[in-house]
Amino acid sequence: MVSLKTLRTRIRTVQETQKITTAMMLVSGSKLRKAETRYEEAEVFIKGFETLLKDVLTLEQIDTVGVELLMPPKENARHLIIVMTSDRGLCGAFNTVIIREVKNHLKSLEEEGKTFSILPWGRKGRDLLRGNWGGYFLKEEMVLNNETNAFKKANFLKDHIMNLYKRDMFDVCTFFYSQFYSVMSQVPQKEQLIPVSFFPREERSPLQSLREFEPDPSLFLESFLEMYLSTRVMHGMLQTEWSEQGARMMAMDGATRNAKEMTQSLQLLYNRSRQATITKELIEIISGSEAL
Amino acid sequence: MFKVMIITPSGVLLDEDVFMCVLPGEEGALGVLENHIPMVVALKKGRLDLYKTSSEILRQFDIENGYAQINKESCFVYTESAESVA
Repeated sequence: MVSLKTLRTRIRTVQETQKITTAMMLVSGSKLRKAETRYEEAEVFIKGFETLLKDVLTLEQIDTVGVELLMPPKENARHLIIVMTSDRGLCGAFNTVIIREVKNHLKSLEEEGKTFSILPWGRKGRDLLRGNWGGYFLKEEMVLNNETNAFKKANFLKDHIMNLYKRDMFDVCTFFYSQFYSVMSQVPQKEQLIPVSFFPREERSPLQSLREFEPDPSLFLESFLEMYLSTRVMHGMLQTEWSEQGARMMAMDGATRNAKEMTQSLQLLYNRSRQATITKELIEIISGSEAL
Repeated sequence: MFKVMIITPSGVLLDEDVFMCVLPGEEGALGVLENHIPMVVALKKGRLDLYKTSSEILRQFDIENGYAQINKESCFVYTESAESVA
């Protein structure tokens, strides 16, 4: 039988843990709200810019033939995979789910005989992929000095990707992030970043064609598309941060509940053993006195 | 009067009806009034002026690079960041 002292210590340990998980849940709850506001603030920009781009690209007067970012890849042989995960753990299966999706994608690329390199964004994803896929990591390290502005962060990553693209290091760039649906569900998403998925030309309406440009669209289409890439990257980053907090909140909520259950059953065991010891001692005393 | 919106990644900074809006276009400043021809303009870093009447300035903003989408009754300015000039 476990001694009473051991049980007391265990109960105390579980209670301490419960305090921590409760605190973490509250913290991620408030961070979740912050992440939500951050995304909602950016949403107008992200959605609006996307509509604008769509408007512009479906115009008849726009010549997209020479624009590399829109062209289907010449070879489609080299892929760049960007994986967005969290920097911190203790958020349930959040990172594992994204990584599973990534691994499936990598395996199918491997089967198709394509070469690829991985660019992990987020410490946990890097750690999880390092074991089997570490050899495919990009050699170049990114240095980002405590930037907190979401768009600047996204711009930084976009510049890094564009830099690799201009040096002809890959043909297709896909990125993985987590889309927030609710606190209970965050779904990993796969999105092709480069080349920019093309909007079908059939959607053109004659009304839309009446639009002027300054300067000529061919002069700014590339930087226009780059800004669009930044908004996509920002979308992914903000959604991942938001999902992370949701996942952590759920994980910590579960942990708190488990700790509560554990304390209860341990307390029950403790009371029983205490009672058992008392009864045993009583019997010993009584039988001792009877023997006299 | 027509509607002008300044939209940045950190939120909508302005949503107001104005008489005229002067944008820092890449090829030079550009004044926009109501019923302007639909247009997409690349903007450079500079000052954006909003006029209450033809001579009275309502507000001014310093904006980064961006794009403006001009329609007959509205003008949407998408920029990385903008700051109101006091």
